Amino acid sequence: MEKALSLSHGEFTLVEPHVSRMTLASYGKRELKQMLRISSKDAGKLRSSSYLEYAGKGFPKWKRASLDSLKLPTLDMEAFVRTEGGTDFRSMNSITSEDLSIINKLSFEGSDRKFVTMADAFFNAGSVITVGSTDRTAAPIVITVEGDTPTIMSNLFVLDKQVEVTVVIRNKTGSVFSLMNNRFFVDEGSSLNLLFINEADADAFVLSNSYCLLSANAQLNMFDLNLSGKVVVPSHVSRLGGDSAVSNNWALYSAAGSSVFDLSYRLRHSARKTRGIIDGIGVLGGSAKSVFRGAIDIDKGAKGSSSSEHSDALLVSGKAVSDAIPTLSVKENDVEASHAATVGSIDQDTVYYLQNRGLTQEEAERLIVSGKFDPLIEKIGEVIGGGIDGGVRVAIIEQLGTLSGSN
Amino acid sequence: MNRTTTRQTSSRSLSSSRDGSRGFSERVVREISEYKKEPRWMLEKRLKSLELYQSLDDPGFGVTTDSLNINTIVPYLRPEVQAARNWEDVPEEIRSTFDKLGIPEAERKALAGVGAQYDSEIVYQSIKRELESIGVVFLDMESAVREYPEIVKRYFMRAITPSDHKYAALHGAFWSGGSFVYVPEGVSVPLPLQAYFRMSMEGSGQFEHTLIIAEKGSSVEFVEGCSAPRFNEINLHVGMVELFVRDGARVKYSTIQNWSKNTLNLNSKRAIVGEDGTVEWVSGSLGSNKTMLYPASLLVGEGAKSEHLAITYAGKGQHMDTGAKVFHMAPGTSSVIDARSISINGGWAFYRGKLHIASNAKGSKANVKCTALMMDDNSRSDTVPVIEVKTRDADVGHEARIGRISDDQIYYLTTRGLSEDQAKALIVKGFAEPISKEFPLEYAVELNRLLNLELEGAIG
Repeated sequence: MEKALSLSHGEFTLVEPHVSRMTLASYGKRELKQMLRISSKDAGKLRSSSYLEYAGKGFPKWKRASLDSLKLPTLDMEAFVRTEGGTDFRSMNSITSEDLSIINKLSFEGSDRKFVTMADAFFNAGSVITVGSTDRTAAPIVITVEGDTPTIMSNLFVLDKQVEVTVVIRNKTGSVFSLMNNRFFVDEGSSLNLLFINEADADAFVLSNSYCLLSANAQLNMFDLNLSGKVVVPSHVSRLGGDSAVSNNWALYSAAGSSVFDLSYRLRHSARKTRGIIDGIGVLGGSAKSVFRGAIDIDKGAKGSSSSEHSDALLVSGKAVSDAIPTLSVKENDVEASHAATVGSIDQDTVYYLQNRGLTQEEAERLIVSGKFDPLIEKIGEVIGGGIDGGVRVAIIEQLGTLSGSN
Repeated sequence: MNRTTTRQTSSRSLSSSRDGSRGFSERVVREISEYKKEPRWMLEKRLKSLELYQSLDDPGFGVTTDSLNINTIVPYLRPEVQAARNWEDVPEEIRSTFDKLGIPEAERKALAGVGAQYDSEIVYQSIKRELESIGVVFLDMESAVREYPEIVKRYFMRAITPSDHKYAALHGAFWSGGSFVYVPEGVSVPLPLQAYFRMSMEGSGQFEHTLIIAEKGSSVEFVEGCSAPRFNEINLHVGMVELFVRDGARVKYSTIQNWSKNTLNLNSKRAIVGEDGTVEWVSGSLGSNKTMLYPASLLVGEGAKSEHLAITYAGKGQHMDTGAKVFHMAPGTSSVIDARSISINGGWAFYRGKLHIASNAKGSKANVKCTALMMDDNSRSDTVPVIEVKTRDADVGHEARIGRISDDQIYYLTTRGLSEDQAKALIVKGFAEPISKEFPLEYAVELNRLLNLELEGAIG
């Protein structure tokens, strides 16, 4: 299993961080039984083995993103998920033994193993999507979560050698709970352009765990946009497992009201000449809180690799708070690894200047923030294409409107 | 001025050969307190700490302490205990280290535990007349408990309480030795004060407590150095340093830690800094088998400042979990952290830091910089800084970099006539220089010598 932390080195071991556990009224045997009725033999195996692990431990009692008020609504057999583009789609309920073996190879810890196993046990949406070399010019695959019922989704994406594909996963749930697992296997020389957009309900708990395994010369270009939700915990891990693999992770977030965003991005370099970037920018209004975790792990043997992480947080309200936890863990000396973080407020001289030009303080701040986001939005347009940057820009501008009035 | 005032352990020979008691029990606590002729309140504090120690769990982070059999450690070594050990028993490696460090013959034997060396308790003190004349108190902690009970009672284990963590509780129960410094209002101590602690008996624990109180507008520099020879059993060091930096005062606390490579070093250091006060921590952590050390600064007064400069060396058989913590708890406070590490020969350097800006710390500034040098591909280096910002009116920056010495740098120096190893050693010294130059001259020289020695073994 791809674990988040590497706790040993030679004869030495670090104390494993203790995670307190708690009990929540949650899904159990009854829901599992219903789900098993509509599952293939191998989907059933996935559900049952995941359930065993899920049932064996409580929910995490996180310090920074509290789940204490999470009340899980009744789980429907099927969620409202719209899927467009792509050719080879199969329901996660009908997976084969071959699919299951890939899923097992892509076993990972996520933000907490409880949620990864929960999604694999109780998914009410999800697909296995294979992109073969004949799909080279395939249209973007767009998966949109909608509706008012809870979505638990588990997806597997398999990219054959030498293909390029764009995947957009948009979460517009109206429910208070959404959970997803996304696993990606990217074979040699292939490129995955990936955009996550979270526009969930303001009261929603949004948990998203992804794991991407990159083969030699494979490339991931990932954008993770988080614009709403009550407690939002995305955790994205990529393993640069083949020589010269590349993982670019760009994160943009805007949190208002009393939202808590705990965002985690991890790059694990385990092959030679791999390259990685984590670059995050966020703005916080109201009494919102963000935690930005950017982790770079470089294994022994990943010679000639380079990796960098950078995060900026802008606080536009007196009550907003922000944490940054950038970590480096390096077991190879022939590498370059760095991280940097800043937390600060909008430059008041610039606000004053714009106010002198006739803008209100609110408008001035909004202009400055959207200006900071612009380069990233443009990059989304370049990489994802299809005019999606326009939609993203509109969504962000709408969201920024909710930031003010809380000074 | 490079003069320093030193309190040393005496080399007088005593005839008693009573052994120190092993294990951590109430009986030992009572014996220590009785032997030190402590007032009742201190005994009660010790007993309460022991109770806490027994009820607290190990910290949920950092190095593992499985190898530590606490029952085999001697928590307190009386001064009359004489080391019964021959110079011939001292491992060759240690003897040659003394040679290279240029330690005089008499001191070598003392360091190696074969001379009559007092441990744990400082029985000899020398206070310069000029210090007394300006009202500065510089005593061992035991004397301070007896002679200045009101001051000690007010400050002792108030910055780090016994309930802070398991090892703070252990320290509270068994502390012994250490220094007490009191600097009255407006007084600047003209020379660095220095205490050199040594462990020299196999299995002996060292629980020294240092308490420095710098009253308003005063200033003082304190230098702590640690050195111990290598022995077969795990040595445990659970020291504690508490600094009270009152309004407008300045305290500089420098440490070179060079415990033997079998020592488990679990140290706690904390400063509470008042309005416009300044604390500077300068640390060189070179020795020990495992270390956990994160000097902390609590900036509680408006305009308080802290500076943490640290270099950590993790060589063969070393797991160094070091870092810094700064809590900005008042407006206009500022802090700088510059943490550097060198990992070599399989060593593991782990930087663990915390920077907290409270909601009322408006107009505060903080800058954290971590740099790690990896000398080979058998070693490991981690940085884990946690940054928490609760106000928008703060300016916080952090950067970290892990890498190796570049081939270009080595090539440049080898074309100037240096061998590759000499070039590497020179670059490492340059890397450590911003920290080493902050030490008093003789300590900077010692740090350089120690680094040379380590690198000689590792590279050459």
